[in-house]
Parts: sequence; structure tokens; C-alpha cells
Amino acid sequence: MKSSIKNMVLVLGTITLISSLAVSGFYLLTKDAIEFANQSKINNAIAEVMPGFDNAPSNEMFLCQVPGTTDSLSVYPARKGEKQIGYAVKTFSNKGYGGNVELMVGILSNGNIASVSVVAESETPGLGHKMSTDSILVSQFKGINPEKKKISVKKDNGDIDAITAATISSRAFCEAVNRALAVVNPLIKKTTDASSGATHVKKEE
Amino acid sequence: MDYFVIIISAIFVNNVILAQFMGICPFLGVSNKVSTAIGMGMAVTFVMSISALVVWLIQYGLLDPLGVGFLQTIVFILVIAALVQMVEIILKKISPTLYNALGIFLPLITTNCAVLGIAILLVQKQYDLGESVVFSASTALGFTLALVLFAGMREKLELTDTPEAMKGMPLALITAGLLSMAFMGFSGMI
Amino acid sequence: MTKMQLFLKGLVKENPTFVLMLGMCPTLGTTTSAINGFGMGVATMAVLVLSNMAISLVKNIIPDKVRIPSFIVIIASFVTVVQLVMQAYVPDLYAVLGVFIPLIVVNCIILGRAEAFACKNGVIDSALDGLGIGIGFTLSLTIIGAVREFLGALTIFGMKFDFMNSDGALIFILAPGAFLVLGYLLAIFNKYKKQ
Repeated sequence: MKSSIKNMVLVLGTITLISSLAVSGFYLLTKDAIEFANQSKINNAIAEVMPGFDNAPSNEMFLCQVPGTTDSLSVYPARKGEKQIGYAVKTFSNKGYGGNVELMVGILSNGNIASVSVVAESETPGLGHKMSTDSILVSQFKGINPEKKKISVKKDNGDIDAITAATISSRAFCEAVNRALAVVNPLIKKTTDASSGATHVKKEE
Repeated sequence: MDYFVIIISAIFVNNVILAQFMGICPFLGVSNKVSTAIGMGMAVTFVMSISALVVWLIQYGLLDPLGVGFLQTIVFILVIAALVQMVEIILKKISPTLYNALGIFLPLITTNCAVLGIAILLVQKQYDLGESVVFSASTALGFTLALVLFAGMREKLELTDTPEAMKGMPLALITAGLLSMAFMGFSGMI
Repeated sequence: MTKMQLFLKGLVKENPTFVLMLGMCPTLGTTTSAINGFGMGVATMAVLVLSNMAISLVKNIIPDKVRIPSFIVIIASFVTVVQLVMQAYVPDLYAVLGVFIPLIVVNCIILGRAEAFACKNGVIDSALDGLGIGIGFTLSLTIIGAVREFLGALTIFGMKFDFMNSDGALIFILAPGAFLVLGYLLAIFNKYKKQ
């Protein structure tokens, strides 16, 4: 078709308008499903790292700043009945090899780590990506007491075995866990101070 | 984040071609001679740095406030296409010498996926304006570096005696693989 | 050309990866495993078929000078739709393929087919053309992914081959492996094509 300024502007304008409207329509259609997919990913991760809660932690989420930084993490309180049993924290480190490493860390109210699960990462397949596909890193965090174990890789004089040839990814993993602990520790202290019984038990340990 | 880390990572460690596989078409297409490789590299550096600036302003000044982040792909590709056209027209008027050097490469840049890829990545990585421009410029420098190194190797390869089936693209790809392996050595730097 | 030939030519004779050498970025970047290559191929195929059909529908009302921009807008819209659908229903695959999904927009295969075929032919022929080329692309990506996955981790589609008591040569999953595997596959393809 021959081009004139009038039909060029008209056609291109119409196509752009129709396309944007169609895309916006699709966005509204898929919005809930995308929201649901993200939410269920979070819920699955919480269920994986926190044992035996009966509330819906994702409804009670609050943001908490990491001490000494401007980053905020999402904290999901987990309760059984009235009793606070711990916190799941969605934490991240931007020191990963391929961008952010996002983890969900479950921390019990006695300060121990219940478990860790990987929410999102884009580390190198076959190397750092093993943190998702293999349990080498995750298994080292199950049920440990962070006061007795130094959470950093052995290269940095810590107690964690890094994934072979993926020290940077493993370092980012440890950093993310430490940030979660830094956020939750003050919260746990608050609750233990409130009920003297819990402090007593802790002293006996 | 430290500018120095961004620069080293974008040029060597996460080289846009050899580690992230963006901009492969010009990498394989216009790398027969070192001189054309340098021209292409300069044109990409030029466009990528400007597009980073424009794309950043559009994302945080227009798309985010309006809440239409999902139109990102459509808006970015149109902006980049328009930008390349504009650079071509302005360059022709202001500096004919520069236009003669870069002109023939400019139309090829719209379909260079590295430009769109970097625009999307700098939003994903949540860089601020300064970091975005530094990131784009150093990525483009990494692109130029890989392109020129590869062109130098291919100039020599043309004179060698190779099996019929390996001639041309297969050999070029295997050479690129070896170059990529060499660049992996940089990964310990950050 | 019959409809069958139209459909079949994309598989071998005009295979986008091994013959036309188009769309190299996703071919190298997403084939770390067979399933990733397959997912990328299907996403590209969806955009290709839809944009081919849409373009052949509107081809007569588009003025020549704004042809390419109009095509790009149409393609970008379909890419965004595919992006949204993947985010909603296959979020894990979407996370793995990452930036390469929006980059379908600048995949030369799609604009190339729009220019070379869809803007000259009817809707059904354009759809068949897109389907053929799309399946050819998916097939190539799946094969490359399977070879890399096998050499690099001794698995194919996640199934473990446990015959050598090893974990494979990791280099084939890493960046250099993409270039090496595609280079050697092309050489093999060339050798048999010439006979």
C-alpha cells in the first residue's frame, strides 16, 4: 500500500492502540493467576522451612529492615495456636554470581535455624545452581544453632562447606542467611523477654 | 554497588557475548575483519550508552508511576528503534566523519538483542541512573573487546587448511567456544 | 507448493538453526538442558504462529514505510502475552529462561518470516509456515539441549544415565559448551547434507 503521512500515522497509531489494549486485557486476565503463582511459591517455601504452624503466615507478613543497611526483608510469623513458634524470613543477597540469591529461612523461637529453602536464583547451571537442585548447602543448615556454628564458607574461616567451584554463590547463600538472622534475632529477644519462662529454659541450655 | 565491580564484571566476567549470549548475530556476522569489528563495536557502545539513559528515564518516569510495567517489552523496543533512527539522522547532520565510520552499522543495531537485553537487565538489577549508564557502557566495551579479539582470530583462520564440513560457521563457533573458555578464567576476579 | 511441503520445509530443508543460522542468541543461551531448550522453542513457536497470522491479516492496510515498525509492535504484543501466560502458569520455566523470553522480540526468525512470508501469503499458509519453522526451531533447541545435558550432567530430560560412574563434563553446560556443541553439531549436519 502507498504511504502518505496521513495513513502512516493512522495505521501505526491504530495498531499500537489495539495492541496495547489487547495486552492490557491479557494482563488483567492473568494478573490473579500470576499473583497466585507467586503466593503459592512463598507459601510452599514457608511450609518447607517451618514445621508445625497452624496460622497463615503470609497474611501476617511485615517488613523489617536489615540492621546497618537500607534493605528490607519480608518476615512471616509462624504460630501454633497462641504460641509463637518462629519466623520464616524471605531474604536475599545481591552478591550472587548471576544476580540476586533469594532464600526462605525458617528460624525457631529459640534462635535455631529450622531449615532453608531456595526461592529464586540465577546462578550458573551445574555450579552455583546446585544450591537449588542438590541439598549440599541446604542440608548444612538444618537445625543448627547459629551461635555455635559460624555461617560463612570455610575459605572465609567459617563452618560451611561451599559448593565445589562455586564459592561466590555459596558466599551469597551464607550472606542471605546471616541477614535473615540479623532481622529475626531482635524479634526473638523481644518475645523471650516478655515470657520469663522461655528465658529460663534458654539459660539452662 | 561499587562502580569498579560493575565495570569489571560487565567487561570480563559476565561478558555479554561469551557468557550471556546476547548479540551473537553481529558477533558471527560482522567479525571477518578487525576494522569492521571496531566500527561495529563503537556504534554499539554509542547507542547502548544513550539507550540506557533513555530507557532508565522511561521506566522510572513513565512506566512505574502509571503502573503499566507489563508494557515494558513493547515500549523498550519502540524506543530503541526510534533512538537508532534519531542517532543516524543527527550524526549525519552534525558529524559526517563519524557518520561515515559508523553509518552502515547503525541499522543493524535495532535487531541486536544485546541493546534490548541490557535495557531489560538494568531494570531487573534495579540500578540507579549512574550505575545503569556505567553498566551499559562497560557491557558495550566488553562486546567490542570480544568482537575485535574474535575478528583477529578469524582473519588468521581463513588462511588455514580445514576439513570441508568445518569451514565457515562450525569453525567460528568452536573458536568462540575456546575464547569463552579463556574468559572463564576471569571469574575469580570478583 | 502443497500445504504439507509448506509445513515440512521448516523441519530440515529450511531449518532455522542449522541451515538459516537465525536466532542464535536463544539457541546458545537457553540450551543448558533439553527441557529448557524445548520450553524456549515452544515459546518462540507460539509467538511465530500468532504474529504470522496477525500480520497476514493486516498486511493490506499497512503502508510500506511503516511496515517494519508495525510488525515490531505486533510481535512485541504477542511476546508480552506469552510472557504473562508463562509467568502465570509455568513460573519456574519462566524464571530459568529469564531475559530470553522478552528477547524473542528481536529474534530474527520472527521478523524474517513476517517479511519473507506472512506479508505475501494468506492466513492459513502463514500459520502453517510459522508452525513448520517453529517446530524446526524447537527440535533443534531440544537436540542441542539434550546433547549438552547428556555430556555435561549425564542426564536427558532429567533422566540419569548411570553407566560411567561419573557426573559428566560440566564444561558442556557452561558457556563454552554452548559454542562447542553447536559448532560440532553444525559440522556433522554439513557433512551429511553434502552427501
